[in-house]
Amino acid sequence: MSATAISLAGFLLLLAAGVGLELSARHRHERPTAARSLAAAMRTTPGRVAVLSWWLWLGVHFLAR
Amino acid sequence: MNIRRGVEHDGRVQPQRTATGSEARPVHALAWAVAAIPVAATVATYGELTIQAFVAVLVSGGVLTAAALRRRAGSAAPAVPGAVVWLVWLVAVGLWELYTFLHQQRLPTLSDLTDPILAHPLVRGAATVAWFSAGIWLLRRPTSATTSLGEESARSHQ
Repeated sequence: MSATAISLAGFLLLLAAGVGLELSARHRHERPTAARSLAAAMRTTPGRVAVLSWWLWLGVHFLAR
Repeated sequence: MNIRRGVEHDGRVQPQRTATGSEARPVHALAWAVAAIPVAATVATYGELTIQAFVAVLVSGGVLTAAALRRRAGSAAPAVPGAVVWLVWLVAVGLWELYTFLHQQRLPTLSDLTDPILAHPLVRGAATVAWFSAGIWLLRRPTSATTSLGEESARSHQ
């Protein structure tokens, strides 16, 4: 198994886990969806700063670095 | 805080938040959506590792972040029990990214994997629109602030 395949497998596994959590949240309502959790994280100023900084970093890192 | 008092059917008085944010401001949402076009066009045209793309993302992201902080976006979002599961997931993603970063000689990081995909101008432009849309979504989270961007704008037109 190549190094690229190992790295890719790790990220795909995490992506699958995220999709699974989201689907579970939408159908079984046992836990909040990602969107509701993200919005809840913005209730406080430190949380708001953290979420917005993370979003800004994503843009700079993946689109413009 | 924009809170009105409302009377329930059983006579109890309940606070009601007014719509200071998103749903009441379609014009502002449209303005932000239009703002995404030049940003996406710049990033798609100039591509990665260019000062033009860096400035476009940093300036647009900075303006949107400042607007969201000023508006206290999300301050009236409902608390949700069980959200910690998403924090755990995010930490797991971060740890795997960190592991690949520390072993970069052998393992490609997430950005190494996405770079060839984002090298295509159309994909890069679409990704920029998606990123900017996510920012607008964050900006439009419910707020309990007394003023909002829309209210300030309405006042300035009076």
